[in-house]
Amino acid sequence: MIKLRHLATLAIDACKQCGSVHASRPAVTVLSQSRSFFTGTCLTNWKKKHAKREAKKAEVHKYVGDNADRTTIVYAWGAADSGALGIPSYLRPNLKNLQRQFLITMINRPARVRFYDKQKMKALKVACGHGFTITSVKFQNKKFLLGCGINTDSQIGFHEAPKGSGRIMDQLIEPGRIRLPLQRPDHCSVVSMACGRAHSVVVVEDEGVFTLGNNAFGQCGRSIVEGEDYSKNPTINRVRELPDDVIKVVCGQDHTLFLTESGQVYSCGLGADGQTGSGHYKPVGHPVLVAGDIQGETIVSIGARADCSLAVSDKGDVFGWGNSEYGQLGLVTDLTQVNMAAHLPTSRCGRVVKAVAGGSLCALLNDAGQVFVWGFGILGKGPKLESTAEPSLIPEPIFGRNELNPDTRVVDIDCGLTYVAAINDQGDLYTWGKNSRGCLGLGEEKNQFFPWRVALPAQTVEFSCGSDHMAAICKSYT
Amino acid sequence: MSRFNWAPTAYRLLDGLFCVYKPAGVPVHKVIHSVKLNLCKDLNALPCYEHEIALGQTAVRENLSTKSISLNAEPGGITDWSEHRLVLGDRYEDSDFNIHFVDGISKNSTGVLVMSVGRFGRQSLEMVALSKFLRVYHVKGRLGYATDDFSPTGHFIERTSFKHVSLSKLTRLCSATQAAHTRQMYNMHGVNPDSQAAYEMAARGIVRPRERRTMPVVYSIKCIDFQPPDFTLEIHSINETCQFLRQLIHDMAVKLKSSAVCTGIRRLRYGHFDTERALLRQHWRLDQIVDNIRDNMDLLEPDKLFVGTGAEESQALLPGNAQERLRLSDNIDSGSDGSLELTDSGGAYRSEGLLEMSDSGDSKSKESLKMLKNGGLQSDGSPTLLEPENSSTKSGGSDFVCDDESSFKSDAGTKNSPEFITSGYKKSKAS
Repeated sequence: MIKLRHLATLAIDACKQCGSVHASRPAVTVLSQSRSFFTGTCLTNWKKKHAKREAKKAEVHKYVGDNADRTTIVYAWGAADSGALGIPSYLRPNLKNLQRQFLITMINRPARVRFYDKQKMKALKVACGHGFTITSVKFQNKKFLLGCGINTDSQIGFHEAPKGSGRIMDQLIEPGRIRLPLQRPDHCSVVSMACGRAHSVVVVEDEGVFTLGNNAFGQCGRSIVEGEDYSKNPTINRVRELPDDVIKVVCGQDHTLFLTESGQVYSCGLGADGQTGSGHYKPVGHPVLVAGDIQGETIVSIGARADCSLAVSDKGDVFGWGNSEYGQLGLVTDLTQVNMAAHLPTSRCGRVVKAVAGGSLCALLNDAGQVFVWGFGILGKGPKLESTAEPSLIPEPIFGRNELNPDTRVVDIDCGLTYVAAINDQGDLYTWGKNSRGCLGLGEEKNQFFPWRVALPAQTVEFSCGSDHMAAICKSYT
Repeated sequence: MSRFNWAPTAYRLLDGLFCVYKPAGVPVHKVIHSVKLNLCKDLNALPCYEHEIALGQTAVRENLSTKSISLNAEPGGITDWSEHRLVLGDRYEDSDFNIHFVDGISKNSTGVLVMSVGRFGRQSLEMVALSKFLRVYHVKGRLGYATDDFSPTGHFIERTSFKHVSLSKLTRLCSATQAAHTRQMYNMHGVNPDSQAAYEMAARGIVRPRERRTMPVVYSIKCIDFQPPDFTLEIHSINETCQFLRQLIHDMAVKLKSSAVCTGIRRLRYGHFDTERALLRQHWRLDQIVDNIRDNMDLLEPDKLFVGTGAEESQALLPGNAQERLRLSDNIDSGSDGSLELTDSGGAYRSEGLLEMSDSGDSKSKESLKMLKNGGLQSDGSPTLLEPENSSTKSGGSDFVCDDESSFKSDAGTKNSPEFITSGYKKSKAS
């Protein structure tokens, strides 16, 4: 091989037969036996191949820059016919691919939302409601809010296309910009946001709390107007009755909870089950402080997805109010409705850091990274355990802790109406519960009776559970 | 020089499991061949024919005054030359050894390889195979280029940059790859995911695949060394192949937006068989192999052997051990951090038994369990597995050397081969 290469470099004059340059002459002298091999086309071929190979070796492919940041990727799965996933090709197949592609109404595995990649937008936060999704994104040096999905109650803003035509959309199948009445519209840095059944609430830094959508029960934090038409309604309300330091907002079906930095909880909206915690069962049109055991405590975390609300204090105590039909508050009461915050004795769960409440089930996370569940439904402890009022531990090995990785712990939980999701410190997302329209993202349509890892090809940073869809913001490995 | 003085004595001891450290560049069949040749050489160097005298013995029959230890010390007056070494040649040849291996590694890989010799060894090897031991590998990769067969010498495909790859990125990817395989681990076991049994299985942590042959299951991937472009991963897995490990390196590199080849695979342990037990190439000799077979006998106990087949049955076998097992499983139920130390190559798998899922041991393992229960494998020709009666005599290799004449019970029959008895293991006279 080396000799050949050497010979090849020696040959300088062209061959008389073919005119090309090859190492015929030295080859004759050195290796007269294999003359035909070296003088024929073989050599040319060999030379060509060799040159090709060397050229290949010289070329270094660079798929990513040396100091490249990790790519943010948005995945969504579940019911697609509402447009909440933000993937327009599912609902309006590309004409070119019409023969191959057809309407996709649900997807049971994580699908990449390419809109953000195409528009070079970086998703920062996401919130899923009933058939709609709002996302806070960064684009160049701007930050703004996008929404997609059902817009029948103007919960994702007023979208007129084309402008001035009077054609106001009640469904967006691709994310569209939600224009909030901000002082600096291009610097919408969202502190927290949440979506309910037909309303959305956004907390913008230095600007206040904004609510959009249905206000039939006062869930938007403004007074209820009888007979108000919420569709095609451009009203966006800024909630003025709240202190400036709102750091977290969560939405139940038809009520909203606000958490301030000082640890107070305000609520507004439907109170038929006592979910506003204001001591009565009437709808509340303006944010009021939650009454009961919660007063005087510094609350650090709140959770509500349906009609039951939970709060966690800095001491690790859990408080609950609202619906208790399924034993969500069964630890302290046999009533089905509680209209004031009650302290739940969860001392055996350790120091609780987060508690979430779905339609019929509740889950809490303690500082040791353990997840406890209670309530009714698929709780995540196999098909045997259907209902319990006592928080029950889901074994840690299910969330990836085993002999080989003894330090893995759950860092965040959230829940939909009938299902729960959790991420561990390695960024693996686990879901379990009722798989309505593939919202668990496990590639199946069956219910999942214990936490199961969602096959996401990236690390999950943030996720949100809607009623029948989910969205996750992930980061690539490089 | 061998410490044996009679070839059939040594040959009869060649029945059991031994463990070699396969060097790189030698395929497994060459290892077997090499072991066979070495055994032949060592055995043929020992006296074995009728007219030959065991080393260290005096030729009592002929002349009491002559003290010869030579192989060629022939008593005078041989009339029957039909059994002479010069007539028959060497007594042992490579086909006399029945050597098998379990879960071999490829030619360029190196590390622990479990092999068996003899019939009892073969049966033990089958049990080892059924118990689906966890294997530990150190896999080396080199970033920067890709080849068609993932080896550094394969057909070149492309060069890529790797400056962006950092240890943190690699570690993150390792954990993600591992988590993806953990998910597969449950699938491999084949229980109905909607059942309570599936939940209980998942709650236990690591579970083994039910079948002997499945897709590779990776339990842990850790980056233990990162010096770009080279990196080393420690991989714990079951049912993998070397090609799978090479491809794993490639796939991970692709996810890192680079490419890599696998420069080396080293198997550190195969269940309880670790590098401590493995014989280096210069030790593939008769004496060492016999010692190794004896040392490996302690791994053929049910609590160590049946971790992956039928755990509840082995619990029933050993009541003393069952308590230990119960204690360990209690630990797991209460959600303690596992008691298994896998990273060091020396420590034993204390809770290897925890790693199994045991709702249906297949018939073969049940059969072998039954055999063990009856006190050993009683099929003809194979030795009975007995506990050493006197552990004090079992020191070093000395109990295999028969120095004094009394240990030879001269057989009344035509055979000249002496019956060999040690304090440790008894050979039944069934053969």
